[in-house]
Amino acid sequence: MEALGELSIFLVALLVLLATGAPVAVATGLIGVIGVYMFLPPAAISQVANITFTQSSNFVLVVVPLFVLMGEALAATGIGRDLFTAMQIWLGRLPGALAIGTVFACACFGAVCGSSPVTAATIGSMAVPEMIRKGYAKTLALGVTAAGGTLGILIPPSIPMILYGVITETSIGDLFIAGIVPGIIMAVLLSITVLFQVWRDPSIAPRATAELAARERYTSLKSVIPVMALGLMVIGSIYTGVATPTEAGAVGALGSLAVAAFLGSLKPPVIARIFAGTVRTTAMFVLLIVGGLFSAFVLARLGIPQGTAKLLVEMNIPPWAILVMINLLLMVLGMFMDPMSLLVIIVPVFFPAVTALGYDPVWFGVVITINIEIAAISPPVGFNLFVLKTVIPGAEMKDIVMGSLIFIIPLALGIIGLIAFPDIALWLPRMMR
Amino acid sequence: MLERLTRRINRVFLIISGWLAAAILAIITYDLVLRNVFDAPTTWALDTSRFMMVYVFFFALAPALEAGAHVSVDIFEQNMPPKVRRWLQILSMLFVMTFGAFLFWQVTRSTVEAFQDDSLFPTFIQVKLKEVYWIGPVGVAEFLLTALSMLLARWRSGPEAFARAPLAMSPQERTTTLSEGGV
Repeated sequence: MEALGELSIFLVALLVLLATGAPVAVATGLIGVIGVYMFLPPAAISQVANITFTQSSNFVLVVVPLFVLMGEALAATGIGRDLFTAMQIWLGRLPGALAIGTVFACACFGAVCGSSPVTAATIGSMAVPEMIRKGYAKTLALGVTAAGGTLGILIPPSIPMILYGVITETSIGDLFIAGIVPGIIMAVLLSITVLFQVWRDPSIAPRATAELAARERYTSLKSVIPVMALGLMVIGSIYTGVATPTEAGAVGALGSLAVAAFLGSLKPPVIARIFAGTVRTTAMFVLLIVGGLFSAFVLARLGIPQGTAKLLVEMNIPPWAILVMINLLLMVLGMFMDPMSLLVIIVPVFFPAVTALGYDPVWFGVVITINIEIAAISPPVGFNLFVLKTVIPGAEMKDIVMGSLIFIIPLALGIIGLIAFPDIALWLPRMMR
Repeated sequence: MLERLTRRINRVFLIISGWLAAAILAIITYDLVLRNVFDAPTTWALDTSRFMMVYVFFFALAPALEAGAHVSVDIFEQNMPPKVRRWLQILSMLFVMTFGAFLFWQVTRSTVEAFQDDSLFPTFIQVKLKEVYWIGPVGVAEFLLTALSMLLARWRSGPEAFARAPLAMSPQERTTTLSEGGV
């Protein structure tokens, strides 16, 4: 119980710092500094420099600027619009075709972009106005885009999975491969949710009536093909062992720059913006890891994660019930914390407990990522909600929130499915070995 | 004066960092091609890209702070009246400076030791620690200066400046800004 008490103090102190609006990396780092001076020998403060230099020179982290660059370059092109148009044409007269098309456009874009807000912004800025123009309910148009955008972090490459991999020392290649099947299942579950909503109230998504010629259908694929080829190249090179995740990131970044150049989007100011965004995100990411690992170091020296693990393992309840509790806690915290903070703060505390219960670290990484997806669309701080509010002129927060809430159900079902059948995530990485 | 100085330095740092990121991309691709096409992997690409990553990070640290790219949980602060928001932002910048000061102290200490020891990295290519570490204190010092400049700007602004966050950006700027600070 002592561990839980100390953990509570840690969380409360952290929340107080975060409430001022201080960057998460600074808040976790300061908690580490305070922890050192209160409980550890002062010499332990030198760990902050060790972690900074070790992590910034960690070869695994070289993957970050490369995958961020890949997403930034593609977001600068009109490829999001082309993906949505292709889905719209191919799904044709299906009920809720545009909304389902948005989900699959997000899934396709997610295969080349590891960021949920970038996916939601890129697809949403064009899909939402188009859906509303065609008579779709605002709530459905906004909600499905917010939820679809979350696929960007489950379908590899995924920036949060890299962060999880670094914090827990889990193979990033395995995490990426493990995200593929759950990512596809999530896209299907989100689409089923759309179908259910349209079945209940057909007026929220009027059916398309126009028939298109076969030629038009195939022409629409011209932008889908390079995106899919790029996604397959990245994952295929990791899966076949031709490239490490870092090298695959380089292939993806180069490929996306080539696609952007081919589409005529690569003008000097755009290039400058792409690279500026890339390095700023990289710095944010590395500092987040430094702050997170430093506070995790202090927590570990105080025995808090170990104590929490011991307490949870010794509880007289089945492991799945403990996992459900952890997931519920993550869902609640996800309502108030952004995805990165969740990863940096919660994972180091619960990871030892989860592995002590016999669960696979790769599997837990996928579960955590889906939890982060839920956090991204949970009010009041769901990041994707704010993304849509910003990129869609005139979008009202109440419509976005109302539309998104129902999509928490398929995501939660996905977690339940993964707890019941861990092989959904694990069979593909296992085949790889 | 300080604001103009830090903005200029940050612009230069951002450009250097961007070029280094491009160089990392080129080096890793070059090695991948040599290994898989010519069966002749380099011995230096892996370590060089690692060391360049240190420069990318420290050069971009302050520009990221200036652009508001470091993720924060602002739900509490955003819902406060302008007067309270101003004080919270001043407080948060003081926290940034406090952590930055500790980081600067420790990173400088490690760098001074690296210069005194003159030791090598335990890597295949022979690189001295000091040749990589020197950028640490430089990057964190600029981070501290940027935080100080932002603190002074907040201190000087009246509560009316904190009434509403500016959202008047082009779609491209929005996408770029959103990608920073989010996942």
